[in-house]
Amino acid sequence: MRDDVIRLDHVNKELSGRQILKDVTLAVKQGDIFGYLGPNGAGKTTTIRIILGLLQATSGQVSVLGQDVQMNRTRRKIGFVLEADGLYDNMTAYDNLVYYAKLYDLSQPAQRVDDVLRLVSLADRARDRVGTYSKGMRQRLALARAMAPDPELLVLDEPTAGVDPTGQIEIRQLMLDMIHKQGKTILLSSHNLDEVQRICDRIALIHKGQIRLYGELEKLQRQMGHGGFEIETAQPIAPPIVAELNTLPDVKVREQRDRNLTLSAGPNVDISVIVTLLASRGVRVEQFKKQEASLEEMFTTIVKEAEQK
Amino acid sequence: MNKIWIIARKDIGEAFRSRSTYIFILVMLVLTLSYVSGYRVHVKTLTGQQAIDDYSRSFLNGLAYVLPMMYSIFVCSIFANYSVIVDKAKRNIESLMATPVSMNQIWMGKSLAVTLPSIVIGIGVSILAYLVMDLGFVTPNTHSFIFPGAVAAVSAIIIVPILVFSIVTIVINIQLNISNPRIGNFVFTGIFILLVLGVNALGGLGISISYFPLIYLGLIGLCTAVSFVLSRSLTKEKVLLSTKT
Repeated sequence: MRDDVIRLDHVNKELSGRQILKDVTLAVKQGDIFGYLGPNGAGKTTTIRIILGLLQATSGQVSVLGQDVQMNRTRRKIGFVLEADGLYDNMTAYDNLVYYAKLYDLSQPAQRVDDVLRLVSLADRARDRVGTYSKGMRQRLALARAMAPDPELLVLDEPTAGVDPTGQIEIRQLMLDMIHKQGKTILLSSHNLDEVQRICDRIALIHKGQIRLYGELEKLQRQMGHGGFEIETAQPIAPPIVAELNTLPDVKVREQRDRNLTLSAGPNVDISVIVTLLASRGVRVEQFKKQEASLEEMFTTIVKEAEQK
Repeated sequence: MNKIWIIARKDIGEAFRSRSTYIFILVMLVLTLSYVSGYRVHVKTLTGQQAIDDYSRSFLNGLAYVLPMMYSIFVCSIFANYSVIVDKAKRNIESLMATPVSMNQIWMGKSLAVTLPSIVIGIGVSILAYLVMDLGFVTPNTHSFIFPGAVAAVSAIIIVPILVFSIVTIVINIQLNISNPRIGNFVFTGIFILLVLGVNALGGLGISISYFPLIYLGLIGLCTAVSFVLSRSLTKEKVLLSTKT
C-alpha cells in the first residue's frame, strides 16, 4: 500500500464570492506520475496553488507529504514549475539556480546546480543571462530548479509548454527517470493529452471546479470504452451476418468499415459466442480487441457532458 | 535572517545592473546645486563675520539633518521598483513564495533590499555634497572647515537609516498587497517633497531644525506600530491575488 503524498479531502475554494473548487477529493500516491487535466479556468492552477501553500482552502483538508504545506519544512521537499517560470532575466542560469538552491538551504548549492544543469543539457549555457534563453530553454531551466533541492514531490504546471518536440521528449524522459530511478512523485498538470497518456499512471480531470474523472488511467479508459470491441476479419462481413450479430442479446454493431467491425457488448456477454458465430459463418477473425477510449475522447466526452448539465 | 539576506542580496544585485539607478544618483547630485545657490544668495545679504559663521554653521547642520533622509528616500523608489514592482509584474514573486520561505522573510528581505543601498547611496552622496559645500562654498566665507554637530552626525548615521527602514517596510507591505504597486512609490515621492518643503515650513513655524532628530524618532515609533499591525495581515494569498495573472 503506497502512502498518499498529496491528499485533498472535500476541498472547497471561494474567491471573491465565486466557487473555484467544489468538494475536490483526490490523492496522489508515492511514485505516481499523476496527470491533472482540465480545460482553461477549470481550477487546475487553484488546486496547485493550494498544494504549494500559496492559497488556503476555504474548507476541507489538505495534506502534502503527510504535513501541513504552510510549514517551511514541508515546502523544502517540494520542487515546482509554475505557469510563470519565476526566472530572473538579468541573472545567469547558474545564478538563478544558486539563488533558489540557497532558499532551500542546500549545503553545497554550486555542486548541485552544476549537476542539474547537466541533466537538462544547459551546462554549456549556464553563464548566459536567462533573458537570452528561448521558451524551451527556460522551461528546462525551470525544471532544473525544481530538481535542484532533490525534492520528494514535484508539482509541474505545463512543464513542456512551448518546448519543441525534441525538448518535450527529453523532459518526458527526465520525468520518467525521476519516477523510476529516483522514486520521486510527480503531479503533472498539462493540456498535452498525448503526453499525459504516455507517462501518467493515474489522472484526475477537473471541470468547473469539480473532479469529473479520477483514478487509474487504464481502468478509466476501459470504462469509458463503453464495453466496445473491434474485430478485424479476413474478408468483409456480409450484411446478413451483421444482422445476425445484432440479434444476439446485449450486442449491437456500431460501425462496419470494410473488414473492420466495431460493436458494443454488455458486461455479461460471452465474447466467445460472437467469435464462434462468425467462424460458423465462414468468417475468419484476424484480430479481436477490447476498445479503450483515448484520453482525448474521455476529455471531450466529460467536458461536453458537464457543459450540457 | 539568512534567507532574508539571500533575498535582499539578489534584489540589490538586480537593481545595480540597471542604468536607471545611476541616473538617479546623478539627479541627486544635480539637486544639491540648488542648495549651493541658496546659500550664496543668502550669505551675500549678511554683514559681519560672526553672522556669516553662524549662518554657515546652521546651514551645514541643516544639510546634515535633511540630506541623508531626503536622498535615501529619493533612491528608495528605484530600488522598490526592482524589488517588488518588477517581481510582481513578472509573477516571479509566485515562485519565490512557493519556496520554503515565510511571507515575513520575503517582506523583510525586500525591505532590506530597498533600505540598504538607499541609505548607503543617500548618506554617501550627502557626505559628498557636505564636503563640496563646506570646502567649495562655505570655507571661503568662514575661513575654516565646519564639522557637523554631534547630534546631526548621529541623526545622519543612526537615526535616519532606522527611519528609512521603518518607512520602507510600510511601503513594501503596501506594494505587496495592492494590485498596482507603483502607487506605493508615491509614498516615497510624497515624503521627499515633504522634506524639501518641510524644512522651510518648519522654519516658518519657528521650529528649529535641531528638532529634526526628535521628529525622526517620533516617526520611527509611529512607523514601527503601523508595521506591526500590517505584518499581521500579510499573507501569501493576498500577495498572490494582487499579482497580475
